[in-house]
Amino acid sequence: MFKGSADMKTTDRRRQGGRAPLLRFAPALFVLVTVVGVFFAASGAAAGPRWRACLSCHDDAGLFLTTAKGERFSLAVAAADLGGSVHRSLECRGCHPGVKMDAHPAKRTVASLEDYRLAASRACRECHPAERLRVLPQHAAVVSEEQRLSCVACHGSHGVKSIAAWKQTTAPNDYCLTCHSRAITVQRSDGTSQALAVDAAKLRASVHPNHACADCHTGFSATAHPAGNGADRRKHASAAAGMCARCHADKLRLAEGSVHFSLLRSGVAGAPGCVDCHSAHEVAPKERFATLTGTPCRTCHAQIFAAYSGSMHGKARASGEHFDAPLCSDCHRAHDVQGSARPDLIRNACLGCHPTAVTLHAVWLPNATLHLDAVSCASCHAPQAERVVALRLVEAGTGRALTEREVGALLGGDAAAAFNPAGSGMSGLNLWSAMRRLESLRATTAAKLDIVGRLEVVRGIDAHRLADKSCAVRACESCHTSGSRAFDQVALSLARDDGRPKRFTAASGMLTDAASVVSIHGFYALGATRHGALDWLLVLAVAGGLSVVALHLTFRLRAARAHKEG
Amino acid sequence: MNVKKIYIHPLPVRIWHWTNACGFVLLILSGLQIRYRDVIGLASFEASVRLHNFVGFVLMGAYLLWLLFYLFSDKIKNYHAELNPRKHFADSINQVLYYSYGIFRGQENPHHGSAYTKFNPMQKMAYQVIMLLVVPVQFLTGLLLWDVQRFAGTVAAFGGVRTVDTIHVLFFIFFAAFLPVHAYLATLGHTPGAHFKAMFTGYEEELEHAKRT
Repeated sequence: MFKGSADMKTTDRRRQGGRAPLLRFAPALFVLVTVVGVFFAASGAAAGPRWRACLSCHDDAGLFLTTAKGERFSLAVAAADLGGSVHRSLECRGCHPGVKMDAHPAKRTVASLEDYRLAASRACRECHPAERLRVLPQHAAVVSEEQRLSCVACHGSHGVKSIAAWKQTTAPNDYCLTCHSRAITVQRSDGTSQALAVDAAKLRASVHPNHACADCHTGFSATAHPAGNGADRRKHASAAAGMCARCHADKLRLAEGSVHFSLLRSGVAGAPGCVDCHSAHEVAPKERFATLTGTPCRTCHAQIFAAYSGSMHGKARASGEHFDAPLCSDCHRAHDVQGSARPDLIRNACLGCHPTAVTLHAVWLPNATLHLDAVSCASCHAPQAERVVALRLVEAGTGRALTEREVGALLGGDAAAAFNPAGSGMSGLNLWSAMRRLESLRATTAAKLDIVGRLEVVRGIDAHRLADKSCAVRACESCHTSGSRAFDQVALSLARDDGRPKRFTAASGMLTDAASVVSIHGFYALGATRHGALDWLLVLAVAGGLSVVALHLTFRLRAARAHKEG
Repeated sequence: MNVKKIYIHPLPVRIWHWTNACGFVLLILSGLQIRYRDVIGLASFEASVRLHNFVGFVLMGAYLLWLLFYLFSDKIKNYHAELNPRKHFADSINQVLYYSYGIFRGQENPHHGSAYTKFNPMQKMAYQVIMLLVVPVQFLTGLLLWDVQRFAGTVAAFGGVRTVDTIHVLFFIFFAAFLPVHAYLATLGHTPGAHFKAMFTGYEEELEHAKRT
């Protein structure tokens, strides 16, 4: 139809007597000029007069600059980049103000590539002032007057694209990584620094290779980048845990009962959340955590891990022959991590791997079950460790131990004064009085309190130095003798939020004073913690009985002699 | 003076008595060793505990036989309490006076034993308390200490292991003081060995005083 219409117009012109010959070629010329123009624009071969002179040198791929740090980078500029850039209408000197055709700067000494880029980025501010950039949340954290981050790190230098085109042509994760693959950080409200960089290669190698960034970072997309909430490290850890919980709710439930989350709740800045153990973007498979090198606990508990490594468990694991030898999480659990202040948990962990322990102990140890309850495994199996009799305040019915937080709340933070009013160490009576006071303060619960005792190692690190069982303490006399070092130290032990015990040291002799019969009636070691008063009573009673015998016998003998004589 | 022989100690009682005597000596010695390991070094703690436990169970068995014997025998009259307080008090005073004065003057023992009245008023009172209160409590507390966890409820009812142990030790002190006194009192027969001999033969020897109304 179009062709027919054109033919008709031509026929009409001829009929009208014809026009100037040049006009006949006007459509073809238009097409030719357009095509050639587009060709040259696209190829850059016809670099505009704005760039031509500069590119006559700077299109040389062999043009390099070496920084004082030894970094070598190219000074070549691709005309195609400039042509496709949103800045194609600018002249070179628009961004490089010191450069003129007749005044090219001498070869400079540049401290570092980053310095060079930062210097280059200052030119951006001529048109894009910081206060306008910071209106965008994604810029708010990284753009500052001091210009700590170069614009070119994210946007590139000569090939700067329009953001709209960028979003359309880039995959969602790659769009995020445009900035987040750079070494960008954000300052938290607590003054610490949060790295925002993501290693794309490691992300792809993680157990989440196919996750979109927005799967975890909900609310973020190519079109939405909410402003940071100014969270401190602790809030950030909590928020990150919320992200993980969307898929791993069961694990979060466990973690919420852990000492780590207890610390998070209580406001400890360094308390770990999910990402502190698993990392945020380089989450390794579960099997990786079950290795000596992969267990994340060693990061924060390096000294304890070193002690463990020297133990029989650590050595067995390292030998490569005993893959069932325990790692940290086998005793302390993986997500509902518990510390030594929960003695039942550690004991049960031991018995979990050594189910015959009670039976084997019972062969030679009277009251084996009682011993395994009242003496921590490490007290005998870490024979070099210093030991302490840890007294705990427990609910009489349930056996649940009161924590430092509970006791502190009841006593108004005056626990030290309640347990040790004289400051010379807690006596049996002090403990008894404090317990009664706590009972009255807990009147609403109606739960009576009790005191139980357990022999434990003083320092948690020693509990990890478990020796071969041939070295374990076996001689009964090592404990069941008056003056045994095992009972040198006595302390009231309250579980802290971090799972470690808070101890209130007792006065020496607390276990053997008369008040202990009622105050510490739940802990007693035959021979070792006997009352001195009963020793004296024995001496007096036997001496008294023998005196009566001796006196009576004397009178008998004298009477017999008198009878014989007279 | 003639010596009259009276059959007072039946064979089961004699067997029980000597079992009990040996047992109590062993319990006291092993108990001392357990409690005073820092002072006495006759045996290891472990061996002492095992011996103490073993002898304790033997004596508990012996006590049960003793109890059954008296419950099913008319000899239980030996342990019947004097229900007349005035008479009991007067008889006790007489006995105290004899042991503290009369015995030195060669006076006659106011108590004359028989198969049904082998104890003098003071012995009767003492052995009622010992056999029906002290010994059972000592066995019970010993049993609780033998396996504190098995009897955790009873231990708690007593007020905890320290209370149980304290009761056990208090009675241990009593027995440790009582045993030498008991042995000495056994020499107060008409000869120092008369009562010992009777506990082997069953026959107590009693001097027949010329004038006894």
